[in-house]
Amino acid sequence: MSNGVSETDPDRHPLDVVAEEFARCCRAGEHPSVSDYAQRHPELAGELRDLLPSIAMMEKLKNSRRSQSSVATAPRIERIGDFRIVREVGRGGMGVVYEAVQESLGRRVALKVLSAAATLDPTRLQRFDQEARAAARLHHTNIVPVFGVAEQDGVHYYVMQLIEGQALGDVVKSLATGHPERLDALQGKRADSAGSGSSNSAAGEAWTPVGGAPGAGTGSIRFARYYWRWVARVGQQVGEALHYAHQQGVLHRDVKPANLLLDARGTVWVADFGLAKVGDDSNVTRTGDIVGTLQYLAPEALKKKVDLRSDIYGLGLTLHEMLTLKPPYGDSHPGELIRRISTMDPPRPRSINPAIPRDLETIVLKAVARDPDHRYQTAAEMAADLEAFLQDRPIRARRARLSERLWRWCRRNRAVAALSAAAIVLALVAIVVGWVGYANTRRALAGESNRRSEAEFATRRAEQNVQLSLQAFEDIFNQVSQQEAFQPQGPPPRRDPGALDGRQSQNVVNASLLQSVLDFYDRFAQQNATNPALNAEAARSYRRVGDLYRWLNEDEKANQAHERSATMYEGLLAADPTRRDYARGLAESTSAIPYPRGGDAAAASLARDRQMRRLRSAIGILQPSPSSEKAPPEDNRALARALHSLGIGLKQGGEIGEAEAALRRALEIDRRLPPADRPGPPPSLDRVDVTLSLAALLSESNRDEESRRLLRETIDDLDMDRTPRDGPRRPPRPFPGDAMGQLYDALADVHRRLGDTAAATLATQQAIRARATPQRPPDRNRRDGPPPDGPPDRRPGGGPP
Amino acid sequence: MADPSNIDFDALLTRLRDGDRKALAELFTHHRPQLRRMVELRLHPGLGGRVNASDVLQEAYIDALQRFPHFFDKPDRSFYVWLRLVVNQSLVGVHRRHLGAKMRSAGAEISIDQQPLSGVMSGTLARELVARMDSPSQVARQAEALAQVEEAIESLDPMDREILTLRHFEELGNDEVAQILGLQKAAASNRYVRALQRLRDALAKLPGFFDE
Repeated sequence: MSNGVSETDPDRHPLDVVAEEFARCCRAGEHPSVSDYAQRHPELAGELRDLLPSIAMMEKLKNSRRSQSSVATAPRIERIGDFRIVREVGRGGMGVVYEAVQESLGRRVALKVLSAAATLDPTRLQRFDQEARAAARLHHTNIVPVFGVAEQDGVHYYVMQLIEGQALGDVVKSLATGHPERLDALQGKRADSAGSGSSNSAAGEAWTPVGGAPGAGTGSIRFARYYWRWVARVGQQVGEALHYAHQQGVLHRDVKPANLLLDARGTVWVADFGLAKVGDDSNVTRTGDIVGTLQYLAPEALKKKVDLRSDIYGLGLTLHEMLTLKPPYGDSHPGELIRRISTMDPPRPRSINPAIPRDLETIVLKAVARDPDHRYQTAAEMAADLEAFLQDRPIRARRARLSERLWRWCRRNRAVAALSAAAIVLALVAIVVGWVGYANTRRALAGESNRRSEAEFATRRAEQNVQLSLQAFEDIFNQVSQQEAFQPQGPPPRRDPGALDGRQSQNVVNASLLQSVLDFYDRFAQQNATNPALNAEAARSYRRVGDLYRWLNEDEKANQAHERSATMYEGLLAADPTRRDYARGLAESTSAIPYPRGGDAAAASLARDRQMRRLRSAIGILQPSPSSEKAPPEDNRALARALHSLGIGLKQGGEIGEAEAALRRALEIDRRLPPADRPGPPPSLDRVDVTLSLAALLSESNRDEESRRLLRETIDDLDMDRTPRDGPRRPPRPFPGDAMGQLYDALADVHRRLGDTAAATLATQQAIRARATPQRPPDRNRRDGPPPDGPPDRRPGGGPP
Repeated sequence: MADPSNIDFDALLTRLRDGDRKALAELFTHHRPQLRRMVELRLHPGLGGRVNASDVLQEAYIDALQRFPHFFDKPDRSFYVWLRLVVNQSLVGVHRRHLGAKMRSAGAEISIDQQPLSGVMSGTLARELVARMDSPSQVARQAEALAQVEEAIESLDPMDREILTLRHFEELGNDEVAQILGLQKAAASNRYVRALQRLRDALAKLPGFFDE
């Protein structure tokens, strides 16, 4: 077999070469025979018979060995200085934690013996000492007091108050594995905390799981809202503790569930302040277990730019894990983890458990924003938002508009499916005809510029063709978006497996179709951005590109495209201020761009001003004048969107009164929009958006009663829409359950603030029911899939074609 | 040396040369089992569990983060050999801090080319070798055998112990061993064969070691 051995290597002893091959076979799990080798290499036979068994032995014994490190056989520490070790209570990358008795004082303490610190050079040890001493100066109800640091016989240790309880990491683990019986600490001793003012205690309210034991069965646990509130309270306490420490100039650097302790009274304690800094500059290196720390590492920490917002991130991720009971980035190997942390957002908590309150999710997502500028800028802000959540006040973190988010869900495009094959073929034909015609004409033009009139004629026709194909795409676009509007938020409701299969197979088609639509618009917009005749078409294409990108969750690209589109429309309007369709485009594109948050305040306010200026000019044109006839619904809808967006901008700028006026106007217009006048997201979605914005604004101005009336009115109107009434027959309009759910959620909050607990509970239940409503119940009587014999986008009530 | 898994060393090294620390994390993680074994075999029992292999690797990783640009100064070494060098220095540091002058007498350090190396603990190696004897009679003999194997290994020259460990426990090839020990390739190869012979001689004195 292996004759390669005979090729002599001057650098190698011949026995070495054979021995190596033999060893390799052993490692591969084979059982090479010594005598075989001896026969194959007769000149070495004697020595091989002599030596190979030793090799076999070494390889065999080595491989069977379990990695019992030297610790296992090490003598136990029994005493360090004044401290008598009672037992080991924990072990981490930094060292071992013991329960100990400080004999001179007769008190029980926790000792953290820093094995790693012992291996550090003097400079780092000194730095560690400084950090530890800084931590020892922290005095806060939620920070584990450090009594001191000391060194004895080269062993560096840390004396802390002994917290009897468990780490939040363990709490989460036992919840996740469905063994909540060990969670006594969570409940706390109510009598105690009641007596001593429960604000200090995370378990000020006891919580109980509903619907049977949590974790039983599928692991999709529905906790009573007390659990969410408990999580918020933990977050609030930790946030306050962090803020206090930050003010003292101490960063924690390693906020994660394992470093938060829960004592028997339910109080949360933050442990191990600043210890992560021992490792010079990068806390990647902080523990022996790289993965364990990496999971909670803020993305910027990979670039060594750690500041207090990295602690906020750690807290956010901790709350994320407490809410979802899963490590946000999973537990893959370090390379993959690093890739995920630096490129992906953690999943939305509600995508894992829809029962998680929206506001809490919003807070968590803000805290874990990849860009530190988009996070809370201080731990106090985060604590304040959590406090607001606990007191049922509106939180300050803003989330994307409902319709924006609806687009994004389209990405999980099970329902992008409803396009018929016919529609696709039609679209493709249109594209080909349009493009070929257009290209040919241009070529003709270039070659024969003398035949002017004919060329002009051809050009016009080509442009018409192009518009035709644009129209085809517009149809597809609308079809898709219309489908998506029916998608409720959160995980998809179960469907029967057969239906699912069919949809999935079509999905592939649709995903690539979407991509081709996007490519088409993109190319078209680029090629025609400078062609005055097709400038408007290009602006519109950019708008579509933006919509599609938003859909694909590529917000940055979406913003760019919408920005581009808005700029072009603005130019078009400057040339012809009477064009309402341009104003409409300007309104739609501009209002699709979220206002910049965080970052350079001056730049953000500049961008906001520009956005608001554009909205105002679009509003000025779209505004119905008394003389003009009734504006078409799409103009009104765009006008309402512009007003809504303007209202948000005004509110951000602190002009509350004007903001309210704008939102009210938007609502008034949305209210009067005819139902489903065209394919796409139903107009009532816009109304929901505006209602939610206005209700939030009212609540923030302490006008809860008005807020309640507003929500009630919208809910009643839209609910009525869901069921057909007698009288002038209105087609039943499908309506996303989540939009309804959000309205009910907001209503529940308002009721709660108004002190009407019963009504709040009812509203919460209704929210749940709305979300649980099957996907398109009214839709089904209307249309069972696309009709085979008619334009797929025909709407009921739209009249015969 | 390393298992031929689907990791792209060249790409990682290129990234590392460009200053990408993530590449170092990946490389380190990849070599971690080997490095860990290297450390475990060399931790002095006198450390009494105050330091374990993870601690050493952790410190080494911190060092490597700062020093990796130096690797590219002399790229004739394999990256593993370089990493191992860093780990070795951490190990030497640990032993010096904890054992001080006792270290040399305890055999925790050998010196080649003026460069201190952490020596393989003969006791540890013996435990490795005996750990597998798990038939009842073997278990009964285990304590005795352990002492004997330890004695056998103790009788080896530290350099022989080292070279056997590198070849069979860290699974390195001759070239890397030569790089690590600062020997010519031919010399490393010859020493390896000689160490094998001595080990064989030492073990042959143990009753029944090769019986199974």
